[in-house]
Amino acid sequence: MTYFNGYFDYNSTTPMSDGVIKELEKAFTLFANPSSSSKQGRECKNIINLARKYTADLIGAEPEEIIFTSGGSESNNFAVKNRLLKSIQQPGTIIVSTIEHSSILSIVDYFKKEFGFSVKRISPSRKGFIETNTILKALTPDTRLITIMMANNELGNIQPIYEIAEIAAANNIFFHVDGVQAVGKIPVDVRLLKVDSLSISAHKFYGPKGVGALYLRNSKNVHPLIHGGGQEKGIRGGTENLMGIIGMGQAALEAKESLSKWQAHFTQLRSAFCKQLFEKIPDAELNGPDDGKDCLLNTLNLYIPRIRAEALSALLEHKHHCIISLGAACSNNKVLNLSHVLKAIGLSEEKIKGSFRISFGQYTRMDDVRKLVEAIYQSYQVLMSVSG
Amino acid sequence: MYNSIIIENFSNPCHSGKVTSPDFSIELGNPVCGDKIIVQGVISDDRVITESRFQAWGCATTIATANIFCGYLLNRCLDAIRGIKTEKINELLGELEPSQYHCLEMLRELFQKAGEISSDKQYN
Ligand SMILES: Cc1ncc(COP(=O)(O)O)c(C=O)c1O
Repeated sequence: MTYFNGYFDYNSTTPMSDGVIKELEKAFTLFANPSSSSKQGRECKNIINLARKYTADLIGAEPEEIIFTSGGSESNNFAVKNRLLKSIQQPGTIIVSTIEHSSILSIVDYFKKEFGFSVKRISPSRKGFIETNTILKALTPDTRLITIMMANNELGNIQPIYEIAEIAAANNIFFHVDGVQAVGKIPVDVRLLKVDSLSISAHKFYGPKGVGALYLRNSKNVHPLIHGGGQEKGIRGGTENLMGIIGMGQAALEAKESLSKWQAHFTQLRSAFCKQLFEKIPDAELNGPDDGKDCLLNTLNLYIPRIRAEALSALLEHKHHCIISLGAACSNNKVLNLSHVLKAIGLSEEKIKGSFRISFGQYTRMDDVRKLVEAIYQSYQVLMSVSG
Repeated sequence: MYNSIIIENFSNPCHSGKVTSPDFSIELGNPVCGDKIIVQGVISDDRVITESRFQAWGCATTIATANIFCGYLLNRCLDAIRGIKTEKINELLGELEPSQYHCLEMLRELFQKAGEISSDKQYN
């Protein structure tokens, strides 16, 4: 997998694993409709159900609780829509954090604008954590939905989902969790967590893009997402994305098997990276949790004073063939696009412009980390000399 | 995302630095993104720019813009710089994405300021 040496953006997406590619190659010639009663059709249905079992196993769910979707965004949209459509006659309050993915923030805004729901936005702490007392304080008798992500894509913070689920359950409130960044990086068990729904996306854990799933604890009286031929228990009609589902199943199987190995690997990469980087650039800062506690160990959000992360990233890509991700982008002359997550934890514009994210994956090697630190340091020196 | 001219110029900003005793100094800031460029240079008796260097704080395209500008000034007569056509300025950065247009505006402003340099070496 030498091709991925300079890739440090695994939170954005991952390459498909060899095992996933192999399963997809085997599946190229499958063509029967999984709903057909022919032998080949039933075979395809069985393959889908096996993938459903692997996906369910990864998050401690039952196969019947898994609905395949086109990915994390669709799963998030579906979960929120399904819950809120049920109380459309009596719109109430939605509790949401300010650091959710746009697929959550946008649909919540939509329900506010179109149907008159009110929204309570929970701000994180300076280090990116959603504190349970802020949820408690936000509760109203008419709260219809709490939606909080399990792990943040930019900072890596792991939120206290179990505690929030307890609050939600005690108050009989539906609790949706965006698990897209968590699943495949940390153990997730929906039984233990007692959440009502949880989104996952295959391309974040070495599966194909454009396929994901929603765990839905109770699928009675669900508003179908796509009305159609009754697939996915009538919740999402349309002939199944067979290739995508096969790839996702295999990716889920591998993630479950390899999770503890990957976590140990990330621990080593993280500590090597921090040691080397802070030695070379002592005034660099971690925007997320300092000690890596309650944090995705593959994710580091960093700030380097006096330079623009955009220029750093450009040098890294074009001179050193390293890919990282940015907290701010120049959009045009009038507006500067600053990360809503970094804004939410109170970083100044100047700090956001100097911030970037590194995310490791299973193919990142110790040697890649050493090269990355060296590349960051060299680029930093170029930028410092250019600015005089 | 970046065209080859921009990549070449931010990857190898060969004209960055300061001039020991400059005959002129041009300063430019972009209030929206906070980018800043300072260009300094030396002018010979026959009105030719014999040295030009820049310092820049900003995105990759800003650094490239400053480097391209300094490279253009070098060994050119002040009159030629004053007379540069808008079309020529537009060509210097190559094809840009909308998010990078502000660098073209910065470049135009740099040329405008360069056009105001008088050669009697009073500019410091
Ligand atoms: C936290 C989070 N939620 C949802 C999504 C969307 O997932 P997908 O790309 O599968 O639509 C992402 C992907 O960037 C994410 O990071």
